[in-house]
Amino acid sequence: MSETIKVDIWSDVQCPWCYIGKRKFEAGAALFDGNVEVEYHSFELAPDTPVDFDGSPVDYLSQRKGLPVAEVELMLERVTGIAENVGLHYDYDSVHQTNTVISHELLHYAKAHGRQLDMKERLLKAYFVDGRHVGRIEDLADLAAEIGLDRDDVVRALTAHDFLPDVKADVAQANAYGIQGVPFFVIDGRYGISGAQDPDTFAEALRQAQTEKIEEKNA
Amino acid sequence: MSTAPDTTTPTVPVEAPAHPPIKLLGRADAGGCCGGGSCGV
Repeated sequence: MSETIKVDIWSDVQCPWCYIGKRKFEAGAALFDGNVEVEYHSFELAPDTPVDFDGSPVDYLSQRKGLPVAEVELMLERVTGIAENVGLHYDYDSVHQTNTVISHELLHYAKAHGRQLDMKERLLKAYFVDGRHVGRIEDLADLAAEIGLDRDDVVRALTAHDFLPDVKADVAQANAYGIQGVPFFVIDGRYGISGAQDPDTFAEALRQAQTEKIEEKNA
Repeated sequence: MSTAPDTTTPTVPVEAPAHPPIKLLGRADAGGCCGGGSCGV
């Protein structure tokens, strides 16, 4: 007997570990013999970042974290190598550092239209691999249209900030859970998993949640 | 001077949204991103 396990994932579009964690979670879910329902939630790592940051990701991280440029370059080199190991080809030379709040609004728009998972994947790839801008409405609308969403309606919704309250609600829920970093996975409302863990960790948590859910149902 | 209670000032702190307790699983040192910069990139 199989029970669908809900997984809520807090994530930011410009978090390199979130894309890596997404791949590792997907690998873990593939090891799990059951149904998984995923919902992404908004987490803003740097809500004070300008839409058009004047500099590279190295400049940004160096300034923000107060680290020497050489140390930041090593960090990015390391995370780029780990991304390669899960099949993701990060291109930090083409990344546009930006504010992600409107991309989160787009993810909520996509959820309302049943396309959140596709939109999440498109946004992460756009940012880390394709060198696309994910902070401006027109650029985001182009990406939305690529997965089949109505471009004009996306521009309207993002301009009106129809989904900003949903973004802020996600952030408030993250605070309530005590989430301080992403990715953060909540498995069936019972287990929390922080960071880009190995697939086995996700698979085991899914099995454990399923077992408990079935036991509770049969009790 | 009025001795009526001050009903304009909340006496109970605003509570965060309710959620069930969750148990943390996995390694503590897995890669992640923090706004404050304390856990990786």
